[in-house]
Amino acid sequence: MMPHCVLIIEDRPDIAARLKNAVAVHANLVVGDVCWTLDHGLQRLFDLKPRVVLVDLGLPDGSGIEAIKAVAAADWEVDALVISIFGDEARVVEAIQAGARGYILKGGDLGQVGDDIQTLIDGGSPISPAIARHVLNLLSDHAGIATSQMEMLTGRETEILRAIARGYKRREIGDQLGISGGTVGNHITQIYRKLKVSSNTEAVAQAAKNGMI
Amino acid sequence: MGAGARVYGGVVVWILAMLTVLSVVDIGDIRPIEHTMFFDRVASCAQPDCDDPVPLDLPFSTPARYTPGIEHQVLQFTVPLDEVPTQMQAFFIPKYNHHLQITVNGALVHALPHQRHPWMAPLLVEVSPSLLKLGENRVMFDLSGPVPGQLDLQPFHFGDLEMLSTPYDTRFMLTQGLTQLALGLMILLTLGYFVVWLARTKERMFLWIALSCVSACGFLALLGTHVTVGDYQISQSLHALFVASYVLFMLKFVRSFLGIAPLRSERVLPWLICFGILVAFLLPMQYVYPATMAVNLCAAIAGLVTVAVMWQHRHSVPKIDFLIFFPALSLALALAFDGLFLVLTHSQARSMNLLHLMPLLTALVCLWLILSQLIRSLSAHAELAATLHSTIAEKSAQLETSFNELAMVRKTQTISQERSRILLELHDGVGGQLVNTLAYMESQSIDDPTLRTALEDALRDLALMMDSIESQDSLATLLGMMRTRLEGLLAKHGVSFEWQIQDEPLWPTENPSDNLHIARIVQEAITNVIKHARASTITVYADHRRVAVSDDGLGFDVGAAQSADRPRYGLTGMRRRASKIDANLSIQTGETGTTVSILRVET
Repeated sequence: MMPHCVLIIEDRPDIAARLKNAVAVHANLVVGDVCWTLDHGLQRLFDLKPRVVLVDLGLPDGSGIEAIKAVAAADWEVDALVISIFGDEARVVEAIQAGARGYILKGGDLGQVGDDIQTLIDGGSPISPAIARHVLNLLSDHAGIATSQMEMLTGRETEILRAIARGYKRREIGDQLGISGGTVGNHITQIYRKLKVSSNTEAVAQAAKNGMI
Repeated sequence: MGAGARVYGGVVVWILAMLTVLSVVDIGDIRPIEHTMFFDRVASCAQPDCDDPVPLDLPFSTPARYTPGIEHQVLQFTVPLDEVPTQMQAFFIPKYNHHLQITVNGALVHALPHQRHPWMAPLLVEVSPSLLKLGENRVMFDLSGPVPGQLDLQPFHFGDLEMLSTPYDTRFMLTQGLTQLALGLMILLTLGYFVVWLARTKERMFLWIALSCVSACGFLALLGTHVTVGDYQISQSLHALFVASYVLFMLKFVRSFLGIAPLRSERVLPWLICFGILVAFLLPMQYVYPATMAVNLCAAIAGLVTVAVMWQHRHSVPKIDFLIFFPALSLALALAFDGLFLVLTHSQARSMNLLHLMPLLTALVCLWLILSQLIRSLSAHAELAATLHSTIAEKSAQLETSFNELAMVRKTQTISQERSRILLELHDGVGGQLVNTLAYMESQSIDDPTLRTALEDALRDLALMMDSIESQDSLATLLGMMRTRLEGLLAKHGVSFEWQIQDEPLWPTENPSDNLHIARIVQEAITNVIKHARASTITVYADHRRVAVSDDGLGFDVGAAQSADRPRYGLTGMRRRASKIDANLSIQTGETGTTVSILRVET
């Protein structure tokens, strides 16, 4: 089986080097290229047509969100992951709404990165309690706007989000609901898909965050 | 049309019923008065010396006569007296036309007046006892009048002045007095309505009622004063004109008051009336009577239309107003018909014409109608003002609330922006530096476990700090984030979490920083377990009033841990935080493990 091509867009050389090493050791993955600027990254995206793009948000010539949008609009199968220090809601939700499939932590143990990427390719999506809470707030506080802008979550999806927001792991949630951890992961992927359906959701999220609605 | 005809038929029947009532009641009926003499039979003399008297029953009247000159009718009768009275005597003549000269035993007691005699006024003529004698006293009445004659005399009384003055006063009040009262009232109302109309020229009803009052003033002046306006032809035409225009303006007033469009009869009747008056004025004298009667008939029709219109639109006025106005209007019309009937038939059957009561009655009820409307609009106005006032108060309160909310939103927004800025600084600044340092160590193959652990701890602490800022609204999420952050560390020490967090709202509080205190206590407890307890499982439990961290480790000596010279495990800090949020911190420790509980104090 051909290894999956991974494109890294990260301006800090040390981080980029660490990520490159961490990805390279995984049997199923191969690093296509490492770009230090958004411009270069976008260029290489279309040259290489990678399966996975790791992108930092704060790039010298622009926001990584642009790259995520380009990935979301690409005509081949490709997923974007945000490189985040903490996986915090403030930085990540915006990226998810732009079309990112999740985030990877650059501050943590990078030995996990290869597996995380594999999980993503297999259909999983990482999510933190804070992000789950944020999505729930988006749905409950501003239901009127949220429902018109984005597809409603199902009862099961909301239930799973609630459990994640309380700190439960997928396996535990699966046990509680009588389903497999993989099924929980599928639900989460579905939630991500719904989040990015509307291009206006970003504006709604921003407005909600600023307390305007 | 059928309905209209029914209404008019009904109105005619209704007015006829009222006329019947009026004739049955017969106000001013002349009857004998006790202790006085009553004369209903006299003798008529052809010559002034009265050689050949003809008996004559009272009341009597002469037909109309249009030849120039004064018509005289000399009447004679005797007053028989058993004794010569000592008190002043008097003749009380309730009604006569036009002039009367009275002689008693050849002495003149009442001369022909210079002024015109008011139409309905009674007469009280004093007779001195010195003129009277025992037995038969010869009395001569010289009744005279200009064109058109129509002399008349009703039965009359003779007796003590004292006895007769009261009935005379009563009759005077009912006829002349009321006429003059009505005239005065009409003058005042005319002025009043004109002033109102000038202030509100758009409301035509005030103009119509003012004009109707002017007309009423006209015919009341003719009825009730001694003023003579021209000859018979002029005064008769004026009288008819005033009555007709009064009724017509009344119709216009009622119509405008009800707020309906002008009626066809309003356009036709004025022309008929004007034509009739012109005929009466221009043609020879003998046509005055039929012409004015035609004019009166037009006025009668206008009156019927007024009452019918009022009935047809009875639902557009308040019930009480209708109940007062409609009968009064009908009665006024009946009075007018009664007067018309008496004039038309030359009937002397009833001695008192009540026409002068018509404007008095209508004026009073119109005043009521206008005042009632005014009162209603005033109370409606007050109600409106009250509603407006309460609406303003309500809106002001809403506005204030919105302003407060807006201020809150702005504040929250500012805080949120500032928080985002700090988070970004921490993330990109300190966080970035720590990550870079870790990356540097890795790339340079610097393997210093202490340094590495310190950097990783610092990074984790920073992450927890940022989480606490970001998720302080929800204790459950705060704990969840803590689990995410600490799970890697736990794994390194061979410890795993047993997670038992209940659903939101986990810790009901108005102050989000309470959550931070609880999270810090939990974090401290978990850190203690990792560092000291050698446990394999940490159970984190939380419900709405209790948060607990328990382990299956070694346990410790609480007393020793809290002693001042060897502060360990951060117990003091935990207690301080617990007391800040009004919670009880309890630590149960033993050989099978330790449980740190935070209990919310029920208020």
